[in-house]
This record gives sequence, structure tokens and C-alpha cells, in this order.
Amino acid sequence: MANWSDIALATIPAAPLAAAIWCGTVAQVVRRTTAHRPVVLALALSLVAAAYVLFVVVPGSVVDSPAAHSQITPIESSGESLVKPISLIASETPASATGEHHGPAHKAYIFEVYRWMSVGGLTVDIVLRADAMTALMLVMVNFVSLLVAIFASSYMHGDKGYPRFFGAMALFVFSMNMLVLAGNFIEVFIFWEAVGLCSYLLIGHWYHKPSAAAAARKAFVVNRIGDFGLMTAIFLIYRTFGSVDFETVLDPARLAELAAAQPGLITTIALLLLLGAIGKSAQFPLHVWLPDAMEGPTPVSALIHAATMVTAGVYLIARTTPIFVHSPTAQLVVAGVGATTALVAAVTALCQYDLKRVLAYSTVSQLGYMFMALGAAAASPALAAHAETFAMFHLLTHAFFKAVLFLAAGSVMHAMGDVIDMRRFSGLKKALPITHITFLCGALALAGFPLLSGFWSKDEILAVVWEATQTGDYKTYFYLILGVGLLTSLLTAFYTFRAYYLTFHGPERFPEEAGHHPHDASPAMAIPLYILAALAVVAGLILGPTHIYAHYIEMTPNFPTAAPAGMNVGMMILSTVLALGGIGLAYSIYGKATRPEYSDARPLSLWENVSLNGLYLDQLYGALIARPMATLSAVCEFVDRMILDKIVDAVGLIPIIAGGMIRPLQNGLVSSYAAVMLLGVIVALASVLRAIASVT
Amino acid sequence: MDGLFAVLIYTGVLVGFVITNLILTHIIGPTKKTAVKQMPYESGMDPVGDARQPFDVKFYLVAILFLIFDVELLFMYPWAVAAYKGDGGVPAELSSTVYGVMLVFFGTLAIAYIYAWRKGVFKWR
Amino acid sequence: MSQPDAAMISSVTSAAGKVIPELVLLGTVCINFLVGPFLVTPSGRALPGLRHRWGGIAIAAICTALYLWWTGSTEVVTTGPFRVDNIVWYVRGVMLIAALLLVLVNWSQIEDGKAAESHACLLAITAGVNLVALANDLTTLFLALELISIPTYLFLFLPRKDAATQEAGVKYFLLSVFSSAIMLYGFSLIYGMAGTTDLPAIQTALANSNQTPVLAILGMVFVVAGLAFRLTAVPFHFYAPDVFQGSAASGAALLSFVPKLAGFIALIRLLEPVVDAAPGLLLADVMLPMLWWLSVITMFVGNFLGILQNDLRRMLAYSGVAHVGYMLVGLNVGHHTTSVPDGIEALLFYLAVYGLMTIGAFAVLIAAERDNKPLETLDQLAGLHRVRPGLALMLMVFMFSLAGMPPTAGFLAKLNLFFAAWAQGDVSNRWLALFMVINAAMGSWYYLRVVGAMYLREPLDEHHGSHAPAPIIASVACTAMVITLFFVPTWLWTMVQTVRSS
Repeated sequence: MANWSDIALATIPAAPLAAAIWCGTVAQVVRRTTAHRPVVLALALSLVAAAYVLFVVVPGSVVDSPAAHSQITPIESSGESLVKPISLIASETPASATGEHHGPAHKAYIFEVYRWMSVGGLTVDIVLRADAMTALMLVMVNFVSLLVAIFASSYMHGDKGYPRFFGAMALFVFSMNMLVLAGNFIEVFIFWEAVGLCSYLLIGHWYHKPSAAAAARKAFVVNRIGDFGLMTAIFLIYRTFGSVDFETVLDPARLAELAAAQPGLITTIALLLLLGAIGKSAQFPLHVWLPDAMEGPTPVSALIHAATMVTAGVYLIARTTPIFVHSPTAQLVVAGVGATTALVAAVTALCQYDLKRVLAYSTVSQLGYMFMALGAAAASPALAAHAETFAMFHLLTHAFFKAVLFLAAGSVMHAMGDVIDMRRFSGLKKALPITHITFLCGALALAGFPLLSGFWSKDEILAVVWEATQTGDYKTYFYLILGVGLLTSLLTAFYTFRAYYLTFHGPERFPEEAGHHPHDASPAMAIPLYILAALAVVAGLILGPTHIYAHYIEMTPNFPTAAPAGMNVGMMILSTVLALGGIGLAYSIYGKATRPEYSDARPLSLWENVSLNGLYLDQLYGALIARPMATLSAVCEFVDRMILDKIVDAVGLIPIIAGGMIRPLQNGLVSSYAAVMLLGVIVALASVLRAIASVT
Repeated sequence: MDGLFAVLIYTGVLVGFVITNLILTHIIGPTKKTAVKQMPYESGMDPVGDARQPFDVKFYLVAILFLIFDVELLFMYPWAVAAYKGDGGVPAELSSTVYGVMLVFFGTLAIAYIYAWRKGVFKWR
Repeated sequence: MSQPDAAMISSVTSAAGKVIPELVLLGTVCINFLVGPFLVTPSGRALPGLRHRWGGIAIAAICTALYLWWTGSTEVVTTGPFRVDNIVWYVRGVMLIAALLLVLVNWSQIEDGKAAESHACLLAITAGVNLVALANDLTTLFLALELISIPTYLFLFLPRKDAATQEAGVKYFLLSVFSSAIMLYGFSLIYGMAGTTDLPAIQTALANSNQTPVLAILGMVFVVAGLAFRLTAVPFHFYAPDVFQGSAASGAALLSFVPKLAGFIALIRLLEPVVDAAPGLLLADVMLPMLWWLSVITMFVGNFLGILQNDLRRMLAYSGVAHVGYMLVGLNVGHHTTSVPDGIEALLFYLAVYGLMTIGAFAVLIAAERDNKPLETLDQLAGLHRVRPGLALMLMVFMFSLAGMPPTAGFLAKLNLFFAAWAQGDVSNRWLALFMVINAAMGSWYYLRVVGAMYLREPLDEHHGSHAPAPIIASVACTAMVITLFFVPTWLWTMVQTVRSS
């Protein structure tokens, strides 16, 4: 029965797994310094297979018998028509049961590997399930992983744990691919844990740093809170649906029935799923682990903590949209969590001096954007398709531009002798031209500079939220969310370019650790940077306004019906103004050649003159914006460090304190043990006698 | 209860006799306090030093072995008496089975005995 | 004396035929005790390498028993002193395989002069566990439990002669006797109520009695308390960390699994007839809250105290306590529901998996020993992956399995229990499921500390330790099974379901 589609699906996880096994066994002993080769090869293979899935398997998986249902709508060529009657939303059922709205209905392609277990009423198959959303994620994950692996082969060169690093990375890609390919919630949970585990191993890669070991543990413990939510959600799903398969659980017709009967249950399931997603995607208030996770090697930050693993939460919510559409409450919470996170993280990022931390908070903030988009569907079910499409679109573009930013930051770190404090270097533009230009591309895309990737995806998200303010019962709420989104957009542009100017402009200074002649990215580092930078610039333009992306993702089975997606020109102009404003603001404060604390005599350039003219403005900004912002940022930081962190620590302390209270009983004396045993018997007898007395 | 009444009387008389005798000997008996007579009696040993001295572990080993064989003898006694009584004993169909079980029991005891002997449990020094 | 009927007579005469695998084991025990002393000098000196011979004989005996088990008849017999059903079949399989692993674990832990006795004790314990499952009578049950206890004292005492081992042995002995006495008192109360020691007859007597069986309920409380000692359920667990710490690693491995297996099987055997037969389910109303509390307290205390430990064996002892808490959930859910998956099924599955992972963990600790000195603290594992990468990998698998993380059988075992507790639908059982999730999260903390010490720290020295093959074989076998059971769990699950369908 094996055919090319099955082989392609199997290759996607199998190749990285094989590479991981190689790195974990053979490469530990021999060929240590070339441990990256099998990994790069395997990831390339996975990428090819993912591309095959994207272009052949998914478009080819159509429902067999369109004729039986042809009376509903005349069939148009696939993906050309976006116009669908909104009334069909509720009746959208698995493709086999209903007819067609536009072109052949797509179903998920499922490769059943084997029956994993059959426990009582619960049957779980290990399947590899591919649909449009999966295919997009797979291509993104494997593409970014491949580039990061190539980058890391040079970046990690000479590291003591070189094979260990690549082994863990390949294991991560395997787990992530399996998470995306999962066909039921149990599979999701297993690989949800597995990616967390790989993340733990990779954050703690430099275990000799106590901070790295602590960060790894923190990430793990915080994530367990989210896992608790996911696990409980799966219990409830199993209890409610009697199955954990996507095909059964996410059946819209059945969900609609159930939602009418038990709305509270659906909301509970959705909120528990959200708790899982909050943990994995570092949303407020569980976002505290992500900035600390920057202790890991930078390629790891780029891959796991920017592009792939942290987006798993967004993916989970997008995947379970059929559940969420029936619970406006849960969606409002999603939007609220997203907006809060976006703003809090953006404000915190304003004052960071650690380049990677700026990017980490920025990641948290952008993930907040995606949640915001997903939650916007609360206003009207008609928005669900847009919300899901654009959240996933931002996920894709964000993966590209955040990966390039992280890798460029890694390149800076590499050149600066592992110094990442922006106060200790500046003016790197001449010394590191490749890094500079690629970082600039990423920064512009992140800031939402017109026509770049971030512009398209972020604009669409704001447009979705705008639509949410126009319909439904929650107009005020969504106006608030929109305001937060716009403000965050301004702040994003500002802090991104603050980091950019602090790093690449100003007087040329290197820390002592860098030596005298810092070298720019080696070819193995430069090529991934260029490719990702190019994508950060053009991906949005190619996929966004042309609707290629939107049309493709509509092939996902059970995808909500889309209303026509118009360009929201007003929102575009507004976000452009905000992006440019943020960049300009950053420029006027940090773009000067001289820095107050480092005013050494250097020949002045254009920057100096402009900033001289803007001196008054500078002070005004300082008084009106920078100072309050700094205060607010400090407050956020304080909340983060002193309160949320402490809460996390305190939760961790409860078992220790409780254990310490029981411990004195354990005194090593046989007689006291026997006494306690006897006491136990007496208590049991007393309670049982009391129970008997109360019953009879 | 009537049947037990005789036993109660018997018990009362018994205890009373003991107590009466003890009191009588104390009162009537002659008392000559010499050093030897005042010495506590301890199974023929001179009561020198602390009474709580640790005994050689061999005492315990022998005591345990004695106890085991003693208890097992007690187990065999009712079997020997009751098993082959004919009426009211072990049913005829089972008599050979029970006999076999007893042989296994003896065999196990013999193994234990050989083990103990070989391990030098019976050697005092 | 009333004349027994023919069925009863034949059940007695054919009793020996039902326990042939156990007879093989006990026969080997006799041979060991008979021949063993003649191969050593009276002062206890022996030819070097004698332990290989005794180990080989033990393995041969267990393999014979395994063969007899596999080919033996599966006819169900419910009368007479022994009851043969699918639970017996399952327990025999699990225990014989565990015994095989324990012989390997014990192989290098014992000196040549004491190998005969040590392996004989192991075989006797194995036979005892099987007899617990076979017992159809309170007397048989008690004797079988003592057949486990008494050789266990010896087994703990034999390997080493230092004060710590002796203290551990005596501690276990005294408290074990105490718990046996409590249990026996419970048996006597049940006997007093029912007038018979035959389990099916007790069931009938309870079903026919028209008044509240207060005596039997009190008896059950004592019995559960006595068995809770074997399970190391709180507050009967206190000996476990001290004894685990003091005894040799093979003794700890044995204690961590075998008494728990025996205890749970005895509880299943006792609770099924007694609780199910209770008129108006009064017994269930009374016993279940007790088991519920026992389970909750046990898992929380086990994990709370586990977090604080730096000593590996103490940590594993508390880990065992916590796992007993999880398994009690299965018992709690199991016998008053018809929902699938059944709690008892999940418990039986968990028991097998728990045995593999805990014996495997001890096997690795033994394989990593240096100069025959047991590993004690967590620090001694530091950087193990640099010195012995294979052992570190295997220990990581066991730690993940104990923590209930994929891709290990421990994950599935926990999942089954979660589902059993959750699907049963009772609010109190849902709480149990939630407590389990919380505890699993807490437990992962200290299991991860072990993984962290092995992988994220520098070795203290470059000492490679011994390369004795036996414990390595045992740990490789356990690892393979723990991983395999994750990917293809169906066969074991099918066995478990067969057990319940009888």
C-alpha cells in the first residue's frame, strides 16, 4: 500500500529521527566535528518531502464523490472564488457528508502507521495526518530548521557538546514535525511534551552556566502548568466525544449540536486548551520562561523560541477553531490574553539592553498578536476564517523575520565574543556588513515597514480586529483591543529600531572579548541570513495581497467559511504611519552618532547634524515619552521579575515546605514508625466506625 | 454459664491456695540472714556485674532451633493421633495424600536440619 | 466432623497439580539449601565464581517455571486451597519475568559464599508471590504472604555485613512482623464473622448475612492496614526510605516491586469477593473513602518527601510511595464500575510497567557502582553520560518513565489510570485524576534532577566503574521493554483485558 504520499509523510519525521539517533550514538564517539552533516541532510530531505506534501499530497486529497452533492453550488475552479454564503457556516461538516462550495472539498490525507493502543473504549492510532494547515507548518518548520542547522554548523563550531547539540536539535525537529502531523489529541500531547523536553535540553546546553540550568528548569516547570490544562482538556474531550481523533472531535455539525446542548462544557474545553497554549506560546502570565530561555545557544532561540515551538500554541488554537467558534467567551479570553501579552511584552522590551532579550520580548509580543487575531472571531463566526488565516499567516512571516533577527543577533554575539549587552558595543555597521543588512531587513519587516512581510500580516490582523469592532456584541471590547494593537505596533517599531541603532550605529566600539578585528558571518552563517532576510522582505508581498496563502489554507478540512477579504486601506495607512513613526522616534533618540555616556571625539557624519537639529525634540521625547516609558517599562519588568517570577518560585516551594513539615516524622526510630502505623490504623478504624454509624 | 461455675470456684481455690501458702511461709518460716542466703539466685551463675549483659548469639540460635523443632513436634502429634482413627479422622481417600504431605514436611525439616548442622550452628565453639 | 464431598476431596488431591511452576521453584530452593553449605567451608569461604553457578541454576529454575507457565493449562478452578484463573496467569508471568531480572540484578551483589542462599530466597519469594495470587483461602493467603516476608528478611541481610545493612534488616523485620500481626488480626475478625477461611465461602456468608457485617468491615480495615505496609502506603511507609538506603541495591530493587505486587494482588483478591458481596454495598460505602484518602495522602506525601532527597535510594523509595498512590487510584476506581477502561485493568498494566522501570533503574545504579560500593548520593551520578553514556541513557529512560513522560511505557500506564479515573465519572474519582496530574508534575521535578545531574554536570572523576554483565543485561532488557511497550502496548493490554474478562 505504500505510495509516494505515504513515503513523503513518513520521511518528514523519520529523517530527523534517524539523524538524532546517529548524533546520539555514533557521533558521540567518532565524527564528532561533522555531526551536523547528517542533520542538515536529513532536514533537507524532510523539506523536500514537506514540499511534496504541500504541492502534491494536500491539493490531491479531495473528496471522491462531488457529483452526489453537486446541487448546492456550481463548482468553480479551486480557490478562485472567495465568496461563500455565510449561512453555510453552521452546516459545514466533514467533506464527505456535505457538498461543495467552491471546487472539490479537501479532506485530510491520513497515513495510518499502526494501531497504537486500544484501551477499553479508547482507541488511538498513530497516524500522520496532512492537510493544508499542516503542510504550511511543515514547510515552514523544516525550512527554518534547515537554515538554522546550516547556521549552527558554523556558529557552534568547536563547542564541546557539538554532537549533543545537533542530536537534540534533530530530535526537536522530529518532535515538532510529529506534533504538526498528529491526527489525534493524544499524539499532540505526546509530542507537545517532547518538544518541551528538547527545549529543556537545548536551553540547558551550556549547563556549566548556572543561569542556563536554572532557565531550563524554569521553562520546564512553567510549561507543566500549561500541560496540566492540555491534559485536562483531553480528558474532557475524551469524556465528551468518546474519541480523541481530530476527525471525530472537530466535526462541526456535531460540535454545533453539542454547543447548543452544553455551552459550558465547550467553553471549559476551550479554556483548558487555551491554558495549554498559553504555557507553550509564552503568553501572559506564563510568559516568564521565554526571556530566560535566551540562555540557550542563539540558533536554538531562533528555531525553537521564535519560529517553531512557541507557535505550537497558536497552531493548537487554530487547529481547534471548530471548538472555539462555539464559545465566544473563550475567544474573548484568547483575544484579551493576546492583547495583554502584546502590550506588556512590547513595553518591557523598550528598556532592555540585552539584544536577545529585546527579541525574546518581541517574540512574546508578536505571539500575542496572533492570539489577538484568533480571538477576534468572537465578534462574529463570519470572522473565524479571517482570524485563523491571518494568525497563521503572521505565524509564517514572523518565523522568517524573527529567525533572521535572532540569527543576526547570534552573528553579533559571535563577533563580539559572546557579549550581547548593547551598551558595550555600537557602530557595528562597518565591521559586520552582512549582519547589518540582514538585521535591518528583519527589523524593517518586524516593524511593519510598508510592503515587507510584517506589514502584510500585521496589517491583516489589525484589519480583522477592526472588522470585529464593526459587528457583534463586543464592539467596545474590540475597540480596546484594536487600540492596544495599534499602540503595540508603534512600540514594536520603536524598540526594534532602538536595538538596531544601538547596535549598528553610533561610534564604532567593541568589547574586549571581541578582540581587535571582529569577523563577520562566515559563509555557512551568511547564506541562511541572506535567504531568511530575502524572505522577510518578499514573502509577505508574494503570499499576502495575492491571496495565495489564504486560498491555500482554505483547503484545510472543517475550515470556517470565509467572507470576502478586502484590503483595509485605512488600516494600512494607519499602520504605516505608526511603523514609520516608531522608527522615526527611535531614530531621533538613538540614531545620533554620539551617546551621552560615550561621547568620544569621532569625525561627525550626517547623523550628528540631524540629531543636533533634533536636540529639543530629543529632550521633549525624553521628558514626555522616554521617561514615562522607562518607568512603565521598569514597572513591567518589576512585575515580571519580582511578582510573576516569585509566584512561579513560590509554587515550586510549596512541595518543599510541605515536605519539610512532614520530614520530622521520619526520624529513623522503629518504635515511632510502629506508633505512627498504629495511629494510622486507629484513625482508619475510627473513620470507618463513624461511617458505619452514619449509614446504619 | 452453669457449667463454668465449677471452673470459677476451682480457679478461686487455686489462687487462694497459692497466695495463702506464700503468706504463710513468710510468716512461719525461720529467717537467718547470711551473705550467701541474701545473694540473688541466677541459674547457678555468680551474679557479678550488670544483669543486662549481652548473651552470646549462639544461645539464640539454639533457642530458635529448639523452638522450631518443638513447635513442629506439636504439629505432628495431633496428626499422628487423629489422622488414622478411621471414623472422624482424615477421609480414607485422602489418607495417602496426607501421608505424602507429611513426608514432604519431614523432608523439609531434614533439609533445614542438615543446613543448620553444616553451617555449624550446633558447634558451640 | 462432617464428611467432605467428593469435589472437595479431589480439590485437595489435585492441589499440587495447580502449583507445578511453584513446586519447581521451591524444589530448587531445597537443592540450594541442601547443596549450598557443602560447597563452602564452614567459615563461609568458597571458590571464586561460585555465584555464577548458583545464578545459572536460579535462571534455569525460573525458565523452567516460565515454560510450565506458558504451556500449562488455563482451565479456571475456583474451589480448594488454590484458585486458578487469569489473574494467576498474569501474576505468574509478571513475577517470573521480574524474578529473572532480579536474579540478574542480584548476580554481582552477593559474594560467592552466600550466593546459594540469596538466590534460594529470591526463588522462594517468587513462589510466594505466585501463591498469593493462587490463594483461595485466608490461611493459604497468609502463608503465601509469609513465604514472601521471611526470605525477604534474609535477602536484605545477606549481601553486606555493615551496620547499616543490619539495621535495615532488623527494621524491616520488626515492622513487617508488626504489620503481619495487624493483618492476621483482621483475618481472625473476618473468620469470626464468616465462620470459614475459604474466600468463596466468606463471600457467600457475607451475601447471606442479614445484618451489618461490622466485624468483617473492621477486619478489612486491619487487613488493608497490614497490606498497606507492604505497599508502602502512607502512613505505613516509614520504613521504606530507611531500609532502601541501608540495604544493598538488589534488596532495594526487590523491595521496590515485589511486596507491592503481592500487596496489590492480595487486595484485589480480598476486596473483590468481600466488597462486592457486601449487602447494600455498605462495605463499599465505608471502604472506598478510606482507600481514596489512602491514595491521595500516599501520592502527595511520597512526592513531597521525594523532592527533598539527595540520596538516590531514599529518593526511589519515595518515588515508589508516590507510585503506590497512583496505583491505589486504580483500585479505588476499579471495583465499582462497569465503565471502560477498568481501574483494575489499568492497575494491572501499571504494576507490570512499574516493575520494569523500577527494577531497571536499580539495575543501572548497580551497573554504575564503583569498587562494589553502592552509589549513594545524586552527586555520584554527576556527568555519568560522559563516563558511561549507555547507562546514563538507560537511566534517563527509566526516569522519564517514572515521571510519566513519553516515549516510555510509564506515560501510557499513567494515561490509562487517568482515563480510568476520569471516565468512571464519579466526582471523587475525577479529583483523584486531577491529583494524579498535579503529582505527576511534582514528581517530574525530582526525576529530572537525576537526568540533570547525569547530563548537565561534570563528572567528579573519570572512574568507569565495573563492567559486570548481569546488571547491564537486566537494564538493557528493561529499557527495551519500557520503550517497546510504549510503541506496541496492545499485547500487554490484551493480556490485562483477558485477565479481567474471566
